[in-house]
Amino acid sequence: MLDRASTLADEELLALLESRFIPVAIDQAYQRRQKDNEGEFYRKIAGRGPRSDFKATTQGFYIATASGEFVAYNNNRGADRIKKLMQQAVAEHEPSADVAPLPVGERDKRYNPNPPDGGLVVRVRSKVLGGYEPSSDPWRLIMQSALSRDNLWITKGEHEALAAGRLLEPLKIRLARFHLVDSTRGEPSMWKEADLRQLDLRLENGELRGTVHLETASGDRGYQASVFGVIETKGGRVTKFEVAVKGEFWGEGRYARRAPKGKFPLAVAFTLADGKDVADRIPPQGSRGWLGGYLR
Amino acid sequence: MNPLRNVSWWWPAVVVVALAPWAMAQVVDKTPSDAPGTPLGKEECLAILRELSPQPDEPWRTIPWRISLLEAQRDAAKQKKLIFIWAMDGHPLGCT
Repeated sequence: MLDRASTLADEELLALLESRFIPVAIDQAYQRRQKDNEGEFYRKIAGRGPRSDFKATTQGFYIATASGEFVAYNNNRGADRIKKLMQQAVAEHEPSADVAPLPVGERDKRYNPNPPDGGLVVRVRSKVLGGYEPSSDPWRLIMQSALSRDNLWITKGEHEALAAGRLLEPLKIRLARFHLVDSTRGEPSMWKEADLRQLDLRLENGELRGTVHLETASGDRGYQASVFGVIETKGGRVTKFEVAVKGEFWGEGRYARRAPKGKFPLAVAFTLADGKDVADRIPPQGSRGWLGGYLR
Repeated sequence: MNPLRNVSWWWPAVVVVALAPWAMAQVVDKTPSDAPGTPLGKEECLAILRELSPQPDEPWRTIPWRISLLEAQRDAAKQKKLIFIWAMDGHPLGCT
């Protein structure tokens, strides 16, 4: 979140990135664990950096050669610092020798989930609409105005049911548990099934309406909201999935601190992905490590 | 004459006047659908979808990000370039 609006908002840095580097974005929680060529290549690079314990996070910006030689690392969000790192890397490590491309080999299926065949990918965005105390801290301001991104995966059976005008229970539950979350300041805490106090969603004549009440057992985090959306179908396929959720959220997750105090307005939007954005291929955050649990 | 003798008739008026600004703020600060249970309508749904649409010209989105390290390795080998890895907890192009 911070990177997008700070480090990667610097035009000079982006020009350097595009002209002198091959940029790749990964969730290192996958690569540091996966037992395949992709994982091995990542561990070869990151293992030479300061975060070489693969049982813990290795997040940050890395620069490496095509042969897997570690060049530089930094986990700072300041554009100037990263730019300097990049300029130094280019000056000292201009690749010249021929390097063979690595084979993909057999992928570790646990860490290479694909969207369900015959299913749907829906883009999910959320935003806190107010409630923050005024701040002049630029980092806080980025967090306070952030728009989060994630994907909702819908199975073939659920897609077919939607096309026939029915919203299946597993999809209702998945939508609420893993996507009606405040992910605007970092990785969100998902809801447990017991947190679904009320989930009243009805699909009638192509319109999705309802209300939700999600709340932890201790009551320290919750979301009470209304839902409205339009789902259109053609030839047995969903052609439009536009759903909005808005209500009062309270509390914060372990990795998403500094929420507004008390209850604050949070909106979540769902729109059908068209596959044109590379991010459409990214697995849902809620499926991390247990795709079966997410899709059940 | 004791000025508090007729207190019973004027003190409720004082309370109402004192609380009026606070009460008005509660009404003004909340749009109807912020209140739990208030249904969303089509217009508001469209407004939310618009407000939560990412700007297509966000700088970081102009970069041709790969999402596979091996794909990046192949391109780096072919183009004789260094690899820049944006590695986060949660996907940098997704939920972080």
